[in-house]
Amino acid sequence: MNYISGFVSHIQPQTQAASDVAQEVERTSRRVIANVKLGSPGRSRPMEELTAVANAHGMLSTFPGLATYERAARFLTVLPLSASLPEISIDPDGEVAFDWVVDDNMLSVSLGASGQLSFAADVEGKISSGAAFFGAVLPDELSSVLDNFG
Amino acid sequence: MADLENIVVSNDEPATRFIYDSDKIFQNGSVKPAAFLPTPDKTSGRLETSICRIKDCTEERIWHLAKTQRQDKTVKGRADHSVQSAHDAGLECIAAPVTDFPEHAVLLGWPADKPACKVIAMMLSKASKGVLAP
Repeated sequence: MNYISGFVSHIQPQTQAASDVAQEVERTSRRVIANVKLGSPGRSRPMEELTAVANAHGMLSTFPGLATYERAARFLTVLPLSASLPEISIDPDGEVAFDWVVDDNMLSVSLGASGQLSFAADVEGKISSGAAFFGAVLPDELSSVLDNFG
Repeated sequence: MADLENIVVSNDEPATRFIYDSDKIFQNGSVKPAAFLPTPDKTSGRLETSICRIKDCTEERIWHLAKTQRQDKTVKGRADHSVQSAHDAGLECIAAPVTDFPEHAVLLGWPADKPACKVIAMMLSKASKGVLAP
């Protein structure tokens, strides 16, 4: 019994350590990918715009505002490089809006502090809308709509 | 003013939405959907979007109203549209005159869920013409 307890207590820290390392590797890889994407020519513009708009609306001095800003910043890093750059604004309810307009096509995405995401799109006269959760990955339904805004 | 309140505004009237935040205007000068999203009325909680009826207004009068309705902000532009476009998007336009602003009206009939609101706001955005403040 003591042996088993000792074995488990010995192995658990290693498992925890491995998990910590794995999480750190994942965080680092996300950061590197985000930096590479935002470092591409012109790709940093939406992040600068987000910061400027958030400042103008006083978002960075409140908890829900800051959480929304951080969520929105994360959203920018997962946008496919093939997509054109969105323009950014703040909705009356405090969510961050990302808008694309290409010819007559329009896509508008709103993202809140807790990851609730809503969108509306008009692609060649076909209107669609939806809601999803955004954690760290672009929702599939939005990804397919974004294909029209390259 | 009371006798002028709650009158449905005719679809053939032109109207405009004043814009006080530059982030609500696309770089190409058109107006973003967020400019039309509603806010809850302070007393009733009803979702509404304020607009200005401009049928009998001169340009000077329109910009005067835009500048005087929000003392705390600088008007950046406006989104001209027809009442018909709001009707087409599923909204109703009701006269809501206030002191020194008899042209005031509100767009009502907004749904409760955000994606549906965004569809309507997008339709209004596409049907409107952005005009930058002089």
